[in-house]
Amino acid sequence: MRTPPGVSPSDFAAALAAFTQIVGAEWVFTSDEDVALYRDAYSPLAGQPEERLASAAVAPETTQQVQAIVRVANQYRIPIYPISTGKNLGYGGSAPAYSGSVVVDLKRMNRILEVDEANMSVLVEPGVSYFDLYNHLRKTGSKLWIDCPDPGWGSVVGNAVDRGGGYTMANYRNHFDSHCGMEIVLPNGELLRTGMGAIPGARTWQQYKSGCGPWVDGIFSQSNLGIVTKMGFWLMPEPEAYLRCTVSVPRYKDLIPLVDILNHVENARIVNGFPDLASPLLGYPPTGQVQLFIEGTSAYATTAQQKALLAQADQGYSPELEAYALANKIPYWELWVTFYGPMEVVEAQWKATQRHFSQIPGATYKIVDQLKLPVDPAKISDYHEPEFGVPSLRAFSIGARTPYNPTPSKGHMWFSPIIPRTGEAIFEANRVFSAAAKDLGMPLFQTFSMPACFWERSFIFILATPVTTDAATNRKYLAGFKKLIEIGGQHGWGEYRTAPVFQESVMDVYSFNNHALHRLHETLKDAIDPNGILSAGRYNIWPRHLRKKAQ
Amino acid sequence: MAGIATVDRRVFVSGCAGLLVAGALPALAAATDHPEAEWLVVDRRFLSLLPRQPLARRTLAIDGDVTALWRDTLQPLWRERGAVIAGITREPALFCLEHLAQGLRHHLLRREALAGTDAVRWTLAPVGTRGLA
Repeated sequence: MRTPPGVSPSDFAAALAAFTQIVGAEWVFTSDEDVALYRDAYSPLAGQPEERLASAAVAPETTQQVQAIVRVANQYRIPIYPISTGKNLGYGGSAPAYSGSVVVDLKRMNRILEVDEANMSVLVEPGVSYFDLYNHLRKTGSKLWIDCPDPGWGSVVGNAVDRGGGYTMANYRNHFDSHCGMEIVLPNGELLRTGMGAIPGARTWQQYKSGCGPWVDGIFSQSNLGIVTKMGFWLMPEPEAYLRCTVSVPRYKDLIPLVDILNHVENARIVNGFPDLASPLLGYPPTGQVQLFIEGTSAYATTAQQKALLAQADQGYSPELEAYALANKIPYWELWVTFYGPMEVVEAQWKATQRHFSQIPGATYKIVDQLKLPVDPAKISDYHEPEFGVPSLRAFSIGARTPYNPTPSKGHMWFSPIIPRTGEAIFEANRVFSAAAKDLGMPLFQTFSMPACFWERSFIFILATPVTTDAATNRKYLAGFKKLIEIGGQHGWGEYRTAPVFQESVMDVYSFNNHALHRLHETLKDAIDPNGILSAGRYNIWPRHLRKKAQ
Repeated sequence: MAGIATVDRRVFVSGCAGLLVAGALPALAAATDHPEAEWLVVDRRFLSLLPRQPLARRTLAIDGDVTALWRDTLQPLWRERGAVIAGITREPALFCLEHLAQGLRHHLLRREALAGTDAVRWTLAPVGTRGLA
């Protein structure tokens, strides 16, 4: 058994005994076999001395137990690291940011405390997975949809506080934005409720987000200032119909007006579903359709001549390639748009959408799917399930050996910078990152890459850097990844979320006014968690006693 | 998920994900999985490799995607109690099941690549279950 750094064996033994008093011996894990379950399956440092490992784990069942654990951690200065379900692979999994921490595993706190059908909201504990919530809603005959990431195996609370995203309507896709009210155990063990939850007996906790005065919810996301033990969410009422269509445009430069018009129609709520950019000419599938492409149920045709022209193109462009596309009526870019609502409404929205895009000469339009909802469960796998609020694990077959993926990796690290939502930014980011990746020998941006449209006002690239079985290759990719973060920062682009191994590099990019933001994070840390027991190092926020050591 | 008492190979192979099958599996699996395994999970891509013979153990055929298997069978089972599950699938299905299993205190006891295929045979068991000799 490991001992947390800076903690004496006798203090650690006393703390473990106290944890056992709180949760019972069955829920304190110290054997190597048990603690190994908390390793990051995608760690690029697996088996290396620098791999971040837990020393033990404790699994409380109630908020009161969480409070008691926190108080014991303060008493013995035990570093603790809460996880919800620990399924954010590619962003760190369940391994602590500070090696030797005791994982506080919240999976047993899996109660769905309230479903308010009239308010279209839920209140859940952190161990509730998307599958749990989906199953509960279906079993109870609810007419509410969840919005889930893909894969949907994680925690509703965990994904939200990590600021993840999904695939339905814009106001539900941003999982942190769709929350309403939190309950938090502070690092001193005190219990806090935010928003209207701060009023005893208020019935509006899941109705009005901010309450009155400073709205503090944000400081409990991607942070180490509290343990979220309850969280409310607004859910989407089941729509009557689903319409998915494509807008195709013929020329390279058409990407610029395509994005400009998308921004208007989406933020005017003419398009209210998940938009998705693709390129039939470049063979780049839309984000939400990757699975169907890999499974071979959907594909863009690519001829030998097209492949030869693609190989010669620079940043996905050459005059010859464009001429080939025009002559063969292969769209350069394809925008997938989706609509939820009554059938007559979504048809009208599609009509208005076409009118807006008709500003682009040569734009063409196609209806892909037009469905009355709900979809027959037997047919749901014909579609991208998360767009229908259905959690799925099919994404894992992306890792299988297929013609699209001839050499599957052991895992991946997500490189996911936010860039402006313009066509120009897509071109520029490809130019900058592909040149840098080539110099660094990184397997990213090897072809023209398209961003995803999870958020309405920005683009995000979500590109997998492989984790291999070769330690030297992993070290090379780690260094290259950090360099790409730095280069992105020089252009004003920053990651939206990252694994602990990159959190220092990423937060360094957010450096305005001599790292004023980071200094505020540290000020908050010192005030709220003076003993520095909670999630040391998460997002590069270190407690005072570890700062010099860490840096 | 459908419960079927007996089934022929054509139905077996063309059935839906999570198809419950009693009967019909394999010397191959029986020779390799854990003796305490309550369920056998088989990717139907590998069913043609297996001989037909009666088998008391309950078997689940999947088409590569473990969503229904997890949602309808394994999660409820493992939440209720520990249970040993054996399988012959591709790596991604095993990866997914292994990590879901960890959340309910089960772990990978055995993994072995099947030569000449992209299949792996494996056993997932409650933490603390002893490995095979």
